[in-house]
Amino acid sequence: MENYFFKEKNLLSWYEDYKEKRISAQQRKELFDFLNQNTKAKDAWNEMEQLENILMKKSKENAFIKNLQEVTAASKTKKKKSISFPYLKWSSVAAAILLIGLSSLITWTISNKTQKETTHQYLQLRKDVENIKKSQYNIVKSFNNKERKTAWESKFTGSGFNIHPEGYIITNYHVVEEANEIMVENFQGEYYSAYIAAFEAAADIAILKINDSSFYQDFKTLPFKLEKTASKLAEPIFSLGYPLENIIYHEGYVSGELGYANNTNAYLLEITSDPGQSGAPVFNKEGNLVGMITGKMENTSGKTYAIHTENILNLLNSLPEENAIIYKESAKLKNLDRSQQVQELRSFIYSIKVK
Amino acid sequence: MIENIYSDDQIIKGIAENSSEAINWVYNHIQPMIIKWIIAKGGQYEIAEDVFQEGMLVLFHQCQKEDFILTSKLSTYLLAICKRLWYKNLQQNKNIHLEEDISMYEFHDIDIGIKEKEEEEIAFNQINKALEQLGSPCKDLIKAFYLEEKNMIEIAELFNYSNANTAKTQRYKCMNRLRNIMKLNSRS
Repeated sequence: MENYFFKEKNLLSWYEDYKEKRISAQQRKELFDFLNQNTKAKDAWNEMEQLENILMKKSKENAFIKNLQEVTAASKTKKKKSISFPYLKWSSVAAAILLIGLSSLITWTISNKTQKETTHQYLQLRKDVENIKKSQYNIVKSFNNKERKTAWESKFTGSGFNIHPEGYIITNYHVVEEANEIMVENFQGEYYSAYIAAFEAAADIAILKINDSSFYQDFKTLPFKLEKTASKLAEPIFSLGYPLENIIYHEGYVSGELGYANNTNAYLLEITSDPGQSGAPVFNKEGNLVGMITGKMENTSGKTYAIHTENILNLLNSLPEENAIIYKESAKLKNLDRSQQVQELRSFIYSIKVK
Repeated sequence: MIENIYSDDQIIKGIAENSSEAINWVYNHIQPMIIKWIIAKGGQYEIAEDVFQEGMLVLFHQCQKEDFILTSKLSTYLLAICKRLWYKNLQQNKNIHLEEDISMYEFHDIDIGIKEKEEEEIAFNQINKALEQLGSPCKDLIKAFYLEEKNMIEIAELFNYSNANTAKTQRYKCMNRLRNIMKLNSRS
């Protein structure tokens, strides 16, 4: 291609070809060489681009104004409902969050109902239940002024664990329910922002999605299984979590078959737990996930409550197909000794920071 | 009340993508506070609403920038935008001196954003004027494509071109004519 081809009167067709991407890299180079040497042509070129930009910006803004006015009109006419998703003009990602949110609402109301029935059934025990409720407090650590100041100051911290290479972190709902912003930190001290992708308030489970395109945890299968059957009384268990700035290991045993408020889907464990350990995974001696810590009895260090893994499986299974979280599990840790198991597991444990 | 919890960054992203849910969120969580502030400063409800909507447009403009970073809570930022617009509105209409609060000077980028928006508006008005001079069918073709977001196949049908490619070539020709008119206008 020779330069004589570029003349000002041909500029328009070149502009068109360039914008429609019908131009080769070589032609593109020659075109810009030509423009750089010919100021008159270059000015014309820039003016065309500027014109198009202004028009396209205006068009985007018009679409925004239209949306804004629709939302304004809708909120004026509509009496406030507890939940409303009136306009589904979302990007695919946002739509996914929306759908998960809706589905969790359904599971939430259902489980809320069953809880009511239980309360009714145990009416005589209500007082006790209330007492237990009072004595149980959530293991959410409050940051005092004295605490180490990080660039990102969090109000609460908890623990959680990842089940997917793209970052689906499971933790307690009470850790994140009041969050304005959520960050998760891996064992190497790297921070990622996250949002709540799904939750089940009654079972106190939230699934966080890491919202950072740079995040990828490299694994093909989880080294542990999500154990559907609960551990039996007296079975040994261990837990990994973030009560401190670094990961902490604790071990203990199943001490009771009922959780707090006689919850049959939870355990009482005899294991040390401290603020910050809410959402910490509980593993059996084979290294498989048998539960998640949710709270403990006040004024004790060892009486810890944990929900069964089954609750987590139920939430995962309740997600609509298009938002399903596909995880692959394995029982790799079965024949390893404890320190080897922990070594394998620690990269899956995250600290959850909330403000 | 069960509601999805979004971070400010997610809302910003939603605004940039013109998501109704994000706008709705801002409307439910931030708008009442801003309306209250303007009414407390002596504005009428209708005017307060207008200021909020204009503020949302400035926010939308800001979010479009690739290097936009929120340096405070979104509510603080949006209130700061609306404060500026409100004071501006007062100064233009009544020519009175106002005690401005210090928070007005915290976000330098807002002033730039408002100014850019004004400049864009002026540029667009110039284009509009030139479009009128351009006449049919070029005016209608450009409006259909850039402002009504019709695709080239629809436009080809609408304007009786044999196919989308012809319509496209026509569009570029019209744009070139528009450019020339604007050039003439700017000289006179």
